[in-house]
Amino acid sequence: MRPTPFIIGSLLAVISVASAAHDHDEHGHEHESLSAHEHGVGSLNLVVDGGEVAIELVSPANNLLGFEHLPASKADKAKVKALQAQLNDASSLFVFPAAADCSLEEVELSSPLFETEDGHEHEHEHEHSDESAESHADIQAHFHFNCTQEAALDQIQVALFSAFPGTERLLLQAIGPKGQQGGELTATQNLIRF
Amino acid sequence: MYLLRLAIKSLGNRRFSALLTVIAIGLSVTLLLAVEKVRTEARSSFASTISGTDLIVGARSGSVQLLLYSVFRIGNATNNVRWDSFEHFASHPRVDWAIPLSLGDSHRGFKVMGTNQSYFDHYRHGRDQALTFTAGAPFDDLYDAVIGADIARELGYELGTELVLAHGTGAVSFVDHGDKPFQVSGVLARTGTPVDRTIHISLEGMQALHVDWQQGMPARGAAAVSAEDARELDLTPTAITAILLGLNNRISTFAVQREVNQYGGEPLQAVLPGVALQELWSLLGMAEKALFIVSVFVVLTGLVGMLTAILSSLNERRREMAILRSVGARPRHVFALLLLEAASLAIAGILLGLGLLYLGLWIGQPLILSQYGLFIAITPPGLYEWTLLGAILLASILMGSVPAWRAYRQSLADGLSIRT
Ligand SMILES: [Zn+2]
Repeated sequence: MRPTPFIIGSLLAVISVASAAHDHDEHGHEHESLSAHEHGVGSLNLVVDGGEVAIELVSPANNLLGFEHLPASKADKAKVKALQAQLNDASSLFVFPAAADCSLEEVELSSPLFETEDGHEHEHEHEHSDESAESHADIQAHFHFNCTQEAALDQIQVALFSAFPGTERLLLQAIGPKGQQGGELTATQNLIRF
Repeated sequence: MYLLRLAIKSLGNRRFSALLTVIAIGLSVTLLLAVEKVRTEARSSFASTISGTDLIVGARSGSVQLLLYSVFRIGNATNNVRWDSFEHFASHPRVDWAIPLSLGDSHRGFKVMGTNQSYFDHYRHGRDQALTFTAGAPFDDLYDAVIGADIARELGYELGTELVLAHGTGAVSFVDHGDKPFQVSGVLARTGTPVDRTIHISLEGMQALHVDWQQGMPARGAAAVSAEDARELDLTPTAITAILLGLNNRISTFAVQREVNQYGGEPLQAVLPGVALQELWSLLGMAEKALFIVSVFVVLTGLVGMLTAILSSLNERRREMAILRSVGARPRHVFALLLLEAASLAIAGILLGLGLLYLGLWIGQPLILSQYGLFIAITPPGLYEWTLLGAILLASILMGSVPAWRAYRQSLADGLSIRT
């Protein structure tokens, strides 16, 4: 029985697979290096530090809205407004164990789509629309929660998939009380366990 | 109880075929348990290779690839990290410590790594264990080398041993650095990680080796810089291979990661070691699953062998059944007798398998450790192993019910007498 050569062998085989897989999303690295801009796929970063939970969502606007152009029509503008409201009410997007007693502290949203919303700075808007008309647009959201019973915080359920059916996968990077973990979240696998 | 004794007695009559059946089951059980053992031990040994590092920074490539070459010393970097990038992030306000890693040379198959004092201060493995010395100290002189435990043992090196490093890590066409020999200044205690198989030298030492090299070839004649002359030169490295970062506060991990990924100086990439490790597992998961399925099939083959042995014995045993009936056994007793026979064969096989496994572990443990640096802990079977063994027993009883049912029907038909 010679286990390690087998393991090393498969590792070496994997290297080529892994680097080949990576070449795929190379183009997406220019701006947001954590994830390529691939429709249906977003990235979710999560840190638990004591009772403080910081969550960062970066997603193509298409996953959340169904479009990525700057909202021009009344209907589109209403959609963007509704999305902002939905993201601001993040306590329905992330489900914490009741015993941990977590509450939403703060939400920060940023996206070229949100900037035009207020209508101020007209020139700025035009510059943007030139770019965004062709390129893709991302939405970034930061959520901060605070939990009074941190010992009870053993898992977080991500309910983004039901709220935004355009989101198929979230690439997870999490730093929990017991260390780092990664993986992929989907509608059926939406639980992060610590 | 009486039936069990009867079953064992009956098996004793056919001890040769029973023994073969038990050996077949036993070997298959050993294989299954060994595969699982190696899988879980390898997993935990990999997972404990690095701890306490928040981010690994390297040239842009795959995250698994970066993890493999920087931590496991497998494969090679496609690109380097410039020294000024290292300085930039080492002095970043959110960074607590930074370990530079410079790979590329080797010595008799072992990798040589250039680094600095912070490696000995901050590198952690297992559960936050620091590196310790069994002899000597970190490199102090330009031509000092610190060797891992495996190198000391396998090559018989000790403090003061002189060693010549070879350029490159390939097995062919070595050009060596014979003009600048190194001396062992320290021997690290065993860690059970690739550190044991690494020769550590200072970044300046690494630079000195290559200071007179041009286009990957050593300088000849007057252009060559001697070992002593190199001491007078500025030996600040121009590039390294990767950086391990420890942060002041882990909540800033993603912010620093983003900063690295968007660094304007050169294309860099920062990965969380724990996340990259998990990505590696998901890639290896397929191979693991295949291995597991193969060993499950081997166990099934063993059980089918048992089924065949019992079934083929049934005809010869019609007389035995008839005698049993004549002394008062009912067909359901015959049924139970054959089930018990299957179960005792399986249990004997499982016990033999466990015995062989632990015998093999006991013999193999030091060999695997010395040959491959993989420490396999000898622990009693856990819940998972017992579940597997229980499933094997259950499968054998289910299979045993086939001949049991046939014997039941036979003894109903045959009654107390038998026409042969
Ligand atoms: Zn060299």
